[in-house]
Amino acid sequence: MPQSDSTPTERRAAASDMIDKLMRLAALKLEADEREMLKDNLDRIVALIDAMRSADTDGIEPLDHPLDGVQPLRPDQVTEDIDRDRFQGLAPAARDGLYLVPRVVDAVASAGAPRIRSANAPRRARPGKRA
Amino acid sequence: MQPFPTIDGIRRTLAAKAASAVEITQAQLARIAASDLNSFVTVCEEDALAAAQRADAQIARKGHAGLAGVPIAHKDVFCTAGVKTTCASRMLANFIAPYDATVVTRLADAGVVVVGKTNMDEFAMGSSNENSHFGPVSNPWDTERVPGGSSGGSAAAVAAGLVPAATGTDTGGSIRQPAAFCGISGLKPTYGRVSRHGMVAFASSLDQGGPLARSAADLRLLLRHMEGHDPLDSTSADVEPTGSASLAGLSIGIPREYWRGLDDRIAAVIDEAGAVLEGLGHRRVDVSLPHTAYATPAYYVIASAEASTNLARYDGVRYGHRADSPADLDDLYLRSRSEGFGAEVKRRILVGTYALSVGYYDAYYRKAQRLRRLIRQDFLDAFGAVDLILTPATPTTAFRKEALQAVDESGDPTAMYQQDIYTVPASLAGLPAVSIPCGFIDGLPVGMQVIAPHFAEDRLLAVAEAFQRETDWHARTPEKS
Repeated sequence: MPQSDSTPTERRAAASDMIDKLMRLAALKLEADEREMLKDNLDRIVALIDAMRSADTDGIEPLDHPLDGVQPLRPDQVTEDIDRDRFQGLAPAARDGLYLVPRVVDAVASAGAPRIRSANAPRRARPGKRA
Repeated sequence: MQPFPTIDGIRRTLAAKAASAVEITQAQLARIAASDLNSFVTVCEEDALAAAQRADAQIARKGHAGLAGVPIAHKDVFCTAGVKTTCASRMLANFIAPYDATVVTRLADAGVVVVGKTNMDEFAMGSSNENSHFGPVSNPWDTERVPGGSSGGSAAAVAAGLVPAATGTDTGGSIRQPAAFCGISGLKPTYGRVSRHGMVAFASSLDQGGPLARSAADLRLLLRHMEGHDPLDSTSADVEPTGSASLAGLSIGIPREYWRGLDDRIAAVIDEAGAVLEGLGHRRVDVSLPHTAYATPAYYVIASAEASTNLARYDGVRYGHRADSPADLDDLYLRSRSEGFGAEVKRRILVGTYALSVGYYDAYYRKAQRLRRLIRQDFLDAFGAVDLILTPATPTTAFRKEALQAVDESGDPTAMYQQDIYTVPASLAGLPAVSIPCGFIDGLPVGMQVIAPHFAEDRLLAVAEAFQRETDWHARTPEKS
C-alpha cells in the first residue's frame, strides 16, 4: 500500500484499489453498481483533499478543538441512573436485559474454549464484551 | 411591514391579548398542512395545541414572558422525547429518543410551542436537502430549486411562513447556506455556545446548533433561550450569555481571498451591502485570510473522519434500522448499515475511514488539523485589526434540484462541496457567523455572511440588526407562499 510520501496520482489509484478494504473497515456492504459509483466518487474526493499537499505546515501543531480547549473533568460522582428497560426498549431485539444478536459462539464443545464464528466481528460483540 | 409574523410580533400580539397562542398555533398548522414544500418530517399537531393551551394559561396567569406561545420547529437532528428523531435517515426512521436535547428543553422552558420536526440532509450531510430519506425539500422562492442544506427544511419552513423560526445545526455552513438560499436570517454561534447534548452527532469538533428566523432581532431572542453552559456537553463553553454591544464606528474586514473567482453579480450585491454598512458609520478594511483555499479540503477530511467515527454506533443492535433475517453477526452489521445509510453518508464514512487509515493518517487527518490551526490563526490575526469580517455566504443563489447531485459514476460529489467554500473557514475556526439577506438576483435571495471573533455574537447581531433597520431584504417573502 503506498504510504504518505507517494504522489497524489498514486494515492488516488490506491484509494480505488482500497475500496474493498475501506468497506470492510467501515462495515459497509455495497452492491456492484453502488461500489463502482463510490469508487469513482472517492477518486474525485481524494483529488479535492490532495490540494492540502501544497500547504506548508511544517512545525504547526495539529488543532483538535477549535478553541484549543481541553476536556474539563467533573467530580467522580454518579449523577444519573440508567434506566436499562427504557433504553433497551429502543432495541430492535432485546430480552431479559440482553441485546439479541445472531449466535456468535458455537455450542460449547466437549472440551476447550468456545469457537467464535466470525473473524471480523468487532471486539465488543465477542463473549465477555457484551455491548 | 412583515407579511409573515416574526417572533417579536407574536410576542407583542400575545402580550396585548390580540390573539391566543392556540389561535396562532392553529394558523401555523393550517399553513403547514397546505404547504407542498416537504419541509417537515413530522408535524406534532396534538402536542402543539396542548403546549399552546398551557402557554395561554400561563399568559393569563402571569402575563407574557420569554417565548411563551411562540410556534417553532426543530430540525430533525435534535432529540425529542416521545416524538420521532429521524435525522432524515432510514437508519433512524422510527427512532424515538428517550430524552430531550438540551436545546429542546431550554426552548420548552421558555414556553415555545413545537409544531414539528423539519426535513434535512441525512445526518446533516449535504448542501441541498436532496440527501433525505423523506425526499427533497423545495425552495419557496422557486420550487424547482433547492432550499440549501443541511437545515433546508427549517429554512424553507421559515421562508414560507410556516413557522416564524426554527432550530438548525451548522457543521460547515448548514444554517448559513440555507438561510441565504431562502432569504432568511441564520446564526451559527461560536463552537461551544450552544449545547450539543441530544443533537445527533455528525462531526463533533464542528457541530453547532443555532437559530433560523426572519430577522436578526429574532435570532437574538432565540439564542438567549438556546445558549448557556451545559454540564451534559463536555465541549460546552462556560461563558457569559450574549449581551448587547456598542456599535460606534466598527472596522469591517473584507477578505480579498473571498472575492477571487466570485460571481460578478454576487460580488456587486455584497459590495452594495458593504456600502450600507459604511452608511451606518462603519469602515471597510482590506484584510487577508491567506489559507482560505485550504479550508474546503481540510474541512472534508476532518468532518468525514469524525463522521466515520460517530456513525460507527449504528450497528443494528441497540437502536435504529436492523436488517431482516441476518445470517450471522457480520451480516447483521453490514446489511443494517448498508440498508440504513444513503449514498452521501456512505461516501463520507468511506472518505473518513480512508483519511484515518494506517499510512494516510498523517498525510490527511493530521495535515488537515495543522491547516485548521493556520486557518484559525488567519482569523485571529485579522481580528487584531478589524471588528468583524464581511463575505458572501454562498458562491451562487439557490440552484436547480439535481444540478449538483452525484447520482452515477460520472457524477462529481465535490461540485456540491464547493457550495461551502465561504462558510467552512469560520466553522474550522469555531467562530460565530450570521447569514442575512442583502439582495436578489433573478428573483432569488442573496445572503451576506458576517463573521465575528469568538463569543462576540453581541457585536455580530447588533450589526445585523442595524443593517435590517436600514434595509428591507429580510422582510420580503416569496410570492407563492
